[in-house]
Amino acid sequence: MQPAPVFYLDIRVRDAFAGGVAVPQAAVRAQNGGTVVNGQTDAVGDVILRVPNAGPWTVEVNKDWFVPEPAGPVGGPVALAPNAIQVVAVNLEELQYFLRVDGDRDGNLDNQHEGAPALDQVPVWAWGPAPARGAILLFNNDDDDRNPAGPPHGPNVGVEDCNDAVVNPANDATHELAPLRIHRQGPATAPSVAADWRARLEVLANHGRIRIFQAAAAGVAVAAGDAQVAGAGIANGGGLPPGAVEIPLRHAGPVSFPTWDFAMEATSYAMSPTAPGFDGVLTIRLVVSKVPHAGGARIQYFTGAEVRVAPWMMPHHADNADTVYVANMGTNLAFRQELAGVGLGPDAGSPLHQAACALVQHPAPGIPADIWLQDCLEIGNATVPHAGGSHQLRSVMRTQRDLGNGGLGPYPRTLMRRDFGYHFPTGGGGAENTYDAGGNIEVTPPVRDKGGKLWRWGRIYHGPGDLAAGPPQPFNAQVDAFLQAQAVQSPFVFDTSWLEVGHVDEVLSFVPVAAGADLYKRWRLLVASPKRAYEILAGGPVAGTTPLNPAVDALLTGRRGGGTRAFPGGAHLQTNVTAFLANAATTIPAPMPPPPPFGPPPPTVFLNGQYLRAWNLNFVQPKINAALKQVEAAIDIDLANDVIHVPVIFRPASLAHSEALALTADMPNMLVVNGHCLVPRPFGPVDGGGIDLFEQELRNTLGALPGVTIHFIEDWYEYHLSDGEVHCGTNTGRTPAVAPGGGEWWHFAP
Amino acid sequence: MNEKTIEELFTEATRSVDDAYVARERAQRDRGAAALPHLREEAAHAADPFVRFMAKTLGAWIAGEEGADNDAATALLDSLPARFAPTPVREPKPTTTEQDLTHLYAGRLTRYLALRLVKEPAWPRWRREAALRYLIRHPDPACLPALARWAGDPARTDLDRPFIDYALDAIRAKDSQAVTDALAEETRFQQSQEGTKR
Repeated sequence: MQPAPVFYLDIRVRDAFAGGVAVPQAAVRAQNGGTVVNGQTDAVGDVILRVPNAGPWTVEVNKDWFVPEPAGPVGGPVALAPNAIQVVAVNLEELQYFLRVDGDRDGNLDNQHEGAPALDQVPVWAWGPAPARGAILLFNNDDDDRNPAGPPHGPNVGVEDCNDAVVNPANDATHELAPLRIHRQGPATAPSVAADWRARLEVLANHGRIRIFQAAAAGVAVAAGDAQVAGAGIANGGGLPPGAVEIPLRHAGPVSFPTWDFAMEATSYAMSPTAPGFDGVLTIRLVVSKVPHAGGARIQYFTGAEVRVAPWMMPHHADNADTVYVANMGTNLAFRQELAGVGLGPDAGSPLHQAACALVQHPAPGIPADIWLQDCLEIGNATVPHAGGSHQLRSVMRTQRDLGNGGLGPYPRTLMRRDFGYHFPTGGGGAENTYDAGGNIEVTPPVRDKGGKLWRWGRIYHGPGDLAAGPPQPFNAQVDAFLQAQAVQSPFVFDTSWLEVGHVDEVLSFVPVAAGADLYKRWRLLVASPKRAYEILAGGPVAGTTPLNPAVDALLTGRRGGGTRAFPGGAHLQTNVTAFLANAATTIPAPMPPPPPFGPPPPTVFLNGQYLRAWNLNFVQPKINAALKQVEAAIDIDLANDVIHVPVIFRPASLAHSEALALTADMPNMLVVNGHCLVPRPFGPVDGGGIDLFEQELRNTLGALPGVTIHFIEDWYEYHLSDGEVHCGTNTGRTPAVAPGGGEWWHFAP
Repeated sequence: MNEKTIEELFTEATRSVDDAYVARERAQRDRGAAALPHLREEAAHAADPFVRFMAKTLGAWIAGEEGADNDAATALLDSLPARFAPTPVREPKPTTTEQDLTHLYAGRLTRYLALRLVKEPAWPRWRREAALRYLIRHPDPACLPALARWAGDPARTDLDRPFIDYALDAIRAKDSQAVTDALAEETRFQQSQEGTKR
């Protein structure tokens, strides 16, 4: 008997969108009336079905995330022949959704999916040049639209752009928001079953630290993140995780399964007051789900991206300065004119003009006037990728000072404008002490550490506070955590608790030099040195001067212990070298009022000259030496060749003589702008030719280095007698120079 | 004009704080030895442990045992804000202030500062902290009624708390039982006052 004929169907399932690649594991179903034959495509996308007759048979193919659902054969009916294999082509098109960001950090949205092809995992943000990946967000804390903050702020105080729920005008959309796209891969037109598809865009944690806008265009509202605003086609709340929105992936009309562009901004740096545990990295997930056509369980996958908030970075003395800030107090006019000339232009020839810096004067508020511009703020920067390079936002940090908004406390926020942001790492909570001031937060030029690690943007340094006395009086822990969290300029500390003011700028300063083969040694460290000062007083030679005649030559020439430059008051401090060193009383400014009932405090006290010398050499100098050791432990420094010991004599600043202040002006407490060093005039010993040996010593050492110009600035009555100097009374806006060897902060793991 | 009696002044002093307290304290001290019998009576028999401490401290002050130091220290502390306001420090450093008080007065200010800490709650933070640092440096069990009252005061800020704990720990290291007893007595007294209020 003739065997019954059999018929074969070779179902070849291919992905037309992907160029005809095989689609394995697709479910295939052939049906003829009540007879059904099932199969599944193999690794090459084929399955051969054996059917009992010539049909007609209807073929359907299904696979999750592929459309149309179900798919039928391409073309018209095919005729089956007995004992033959009939090829049937079926085209599916993968329809999936992926996230795209600027993962390669070139300033443009990537063409590749973030995290694909591996689904259900989020790639870790990676430091380094390509192929390291991970998008970067800007803490959008400038004020492009100049919208007023209202009370209690003043009329010129605005709202940070990240603290409103829309994309702001100016360069918000073009420069300060990072792109995010939900990218659709699949056909242009969706089948009706796509109505079952959903996508949820979510921020896994710290959703308050990011805003995701519906598009990068001015006025567009927030879609996800910190403040959710429902928009067309977007739902939020309703049981979704905080910070998440659900987006239907099929819209009415001819355009379905839209690819959707979003824009992201950060609402804080790492370790903000409202997110104390936030390390600066956010995880964004796109969760895609659908109900299969045949019903049943909801199935889903996710893809995602980690993004990092650009760190706040402090510029160093080698960075390009463009603006110098100073308090405008009537009695410091002469000081300001020394900086910028009589007209305060800055006038041609003035130090600031030579340094190509503008002068910004702010009225000194309060009684007594707060003149300490260095202490109330730190001006830093944040840099993000931008097409063709990078975009930089200058960003002022309010320091933990004047929490009651007296003095210069409110001033930093008034600096906020377009491309000039504002932040306050503590938000004003907690206590304040002198160690929290900006004069106690500085940064080195590019250095390497003992392990050879390169710090291309330098390292921040600060005094840790007074940790020895009973309960500690520390540098603010929140600010410390904030600085640590920025990572790329990891701070180190050295002890300043022995100083009355307690700021690092009283002891040392880094000055850049223009030459040197080692790009990480293009600086000298200037350190206050009582030892060097007393060596000079003892007759140690200073090139360019005549030997001192101790019985005649004076120091503190013309100085008095109080009053103003126009109306000096208090005791005359000028003395000759012999008298200053004698075992007899010498006159110095009073460290503090003597205890009652001995009458009203005079502006001066008397101290034995030999005692003062011994106190300088046995109390102050060891403290400075110890500080240098702490610096040496943190960076690669040759104490013999990289350090310039600057003559400074200190005086006791407390009744217990446990703290120090500069007696001669503290020359390392200088303003350094574009190679110009504006140094407080020390009023050290003067030789017979009228040359100040302390000044000449600095000219011989620092002034001899390439690229350095020294200007001596008198600040005796304006700042020195109030326990500060030039650096304490000024601040600087700078644009970071290119790091040694080039590259951006994200190219190098900290 | 009817002059207030010592008893009235003392009672008002127990109920007042800040400038009002200082004025009544001054008025009692101005009475000199005439104030001593009542102060001794209060020091021996007042139900409130802090009132007993206050009476003892005022009595010793009036008796001349430590008055000059107290007056001088007050004047010094009052003068410091003007000294530091024009400087970068802006206000006196508590650590330095404590060091200078110790330098000038060794440990002789403990009861005065403990009394004023409780009776002058409007002291600025630097002054509170300097006084507490002084009490930590010079642990004095005689001050326990004041520290116990301070420790139980809900108005004390979180910034003050660590210093109170340090001060109590410093005394505990010398006389642990005294601290336990003082805190227990303060608790009993406060509970008795709660009963009175009800």
